[in-house]
Amino acid sequence: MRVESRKRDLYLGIGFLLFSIGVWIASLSIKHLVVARISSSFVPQLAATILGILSLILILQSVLSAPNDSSKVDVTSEQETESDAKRKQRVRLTFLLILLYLIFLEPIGFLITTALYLFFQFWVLSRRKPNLPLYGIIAVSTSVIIYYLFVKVFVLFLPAGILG
Amino acid sequence: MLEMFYVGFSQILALKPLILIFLGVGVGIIFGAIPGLTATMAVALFLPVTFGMHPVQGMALLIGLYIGGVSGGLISAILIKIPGTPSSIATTFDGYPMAQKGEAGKALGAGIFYSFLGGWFSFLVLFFIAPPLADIALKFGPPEYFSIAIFSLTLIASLSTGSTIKGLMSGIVGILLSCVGTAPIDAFPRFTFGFRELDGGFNLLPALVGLFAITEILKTAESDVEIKLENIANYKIKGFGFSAKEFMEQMGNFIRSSLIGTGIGILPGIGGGTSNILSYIAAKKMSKHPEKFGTGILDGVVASETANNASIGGALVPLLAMGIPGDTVTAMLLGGLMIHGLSPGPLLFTTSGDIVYGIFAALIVANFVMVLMEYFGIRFFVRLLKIPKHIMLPIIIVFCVVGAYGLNNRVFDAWSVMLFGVIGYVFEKWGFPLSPVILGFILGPIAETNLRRGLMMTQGNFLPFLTKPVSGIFLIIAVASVVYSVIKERKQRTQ
Repeated sequence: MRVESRKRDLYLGIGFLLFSIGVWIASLSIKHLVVARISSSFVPQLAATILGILSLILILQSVLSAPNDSSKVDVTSEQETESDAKRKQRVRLTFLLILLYLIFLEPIGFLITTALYLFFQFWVLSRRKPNLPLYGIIAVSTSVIIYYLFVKVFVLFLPAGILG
Repeated sequence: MLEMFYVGFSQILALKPLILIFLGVGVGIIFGAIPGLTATMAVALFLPVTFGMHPVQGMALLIGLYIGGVSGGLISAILIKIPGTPSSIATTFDGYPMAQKGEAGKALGAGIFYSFLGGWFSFLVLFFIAPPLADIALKFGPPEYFSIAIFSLTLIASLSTGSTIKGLMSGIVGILLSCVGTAPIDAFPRFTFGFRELDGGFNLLPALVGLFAITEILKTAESDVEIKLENIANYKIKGFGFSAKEFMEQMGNFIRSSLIGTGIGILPGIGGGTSNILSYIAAKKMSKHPEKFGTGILDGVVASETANNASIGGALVPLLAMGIPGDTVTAMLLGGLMIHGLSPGPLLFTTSGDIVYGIFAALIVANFVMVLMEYFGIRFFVRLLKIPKHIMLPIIIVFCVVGAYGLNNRVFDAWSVMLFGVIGYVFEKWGFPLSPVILGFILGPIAETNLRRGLMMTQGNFLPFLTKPVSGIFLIIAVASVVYSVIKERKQRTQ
């Protein structure tokens, strides 16, 4: 377990180091005022430099503290239990649902998209046998209540979409 | 000062602000009581709603949410042994054992009562410290503000859980995220990669909602355990459940916990989440019977619940006096003030004294409302705990999207919610704390603006930042806090 987290820190350190170099390169294209001593690229470059140094420390920490018998790595840790796969599946689906929700929010409109999103999200997150009719009722009513609450009471604008 | 309080109360004691405070405290307690939902999230979700309101009314709602959110955590901490928010972690240590002994009513009563008292203590500190501190802060120049921002940032990075290096890296990532968009002072675009939408940079609200709410739902999707609510402890409240004698016995504990809570609150970056644990540990160390802690004694509940509410007034001190947020909730309050064109800081007391004292009055009223609602409405809040998470969280997500969209009526903000959500999720997985990201995001621009202004004044010479006493001291403490926590970590590792 600890070996695994050390290895992960090594990769993270390398990743963040590359990221900070990327930020440095991107910051070169920030325009400069000729008269200003400290330009707008100063702070991003400073921050990127510090991030780079911290990444190096992280890399060093993980390399130096690595035990000598590294041959034992990866013997037991790679076994994925069935519930592990299920969990990852739930995260992936949740992520996908939120993404679809945002994509279709404006073209289709708040009411329909929200009701659909809620219905499927309830389903994905439920651990026991899903109660689909109940989910449907909650999804539709929540969507309608939120829409009217925000549009009529709090006077916020929400995309009406095809119903508008 | 009394005159100003009169002005403050005259704005709060009207129908609409009172309704808003009731609404705020009620929703706050719900968010506090339900594990996974926090005061920060409650304030973030309601921030867009305050756009159209008068500043004092908007702040009244947000203050209600803050106070309710911090104290609501005790309900689930005592009854189901799961802290509703990080602010009531230590409440579970003795609160739940008390409930198991059949003293749930006593634990709840004492928790509510001492939350109230702790709040009051810190408000008095706020009322007496913030105005003179603002006077002092008026004399601060860019070097001082730069150093205080850096000090706050390093403090949160080194005090947050996990490794100091990772905490600092989180803070830097926050600063870099705040760099996207138009630069301060000369207004050149940075890291926009040609996207027009990025010119204004990321908004604070989508950032907060993404980091805290989306991260939470993704974590819930991943977790295997479902909170079993069948075994909610039986409870019955009668009075506040403790005697006058017990009250006198707790006096020392109360004062110590209030001081710890308020002090931790004033320190930037940390609040109730840290103070309740520290105060519990202190109470145990100072106690004549430390062995009884954890078995269900009143002292533990008193220490934890006094300290977390005492952090509220403390956290507002640097926000109102200097414009530096003390924790994530006060960062949201900062946003709440800024959308009304008010910039918190020493000048606020002179330019908008009515609003400052309106906030003070709202604190006092909301604290009373909190006791009333929690005491009489406890059955209702407990019932809400039974709503399954897989129903609750998706609805929260919808609120997040509505709030983020309502900000500027553009889907871009909803997309930033998603981006920050992903950042939050992977950061948590990788062991990077999230609070430094958000503090870096807020303090980054403050630090940058003041650094560049200061360097313009000194013709590019950094030395005055070190030689000016206030600025120098804060920078030294900043460095010392990092060095100290790195050394402490090394020691722990070698042990």
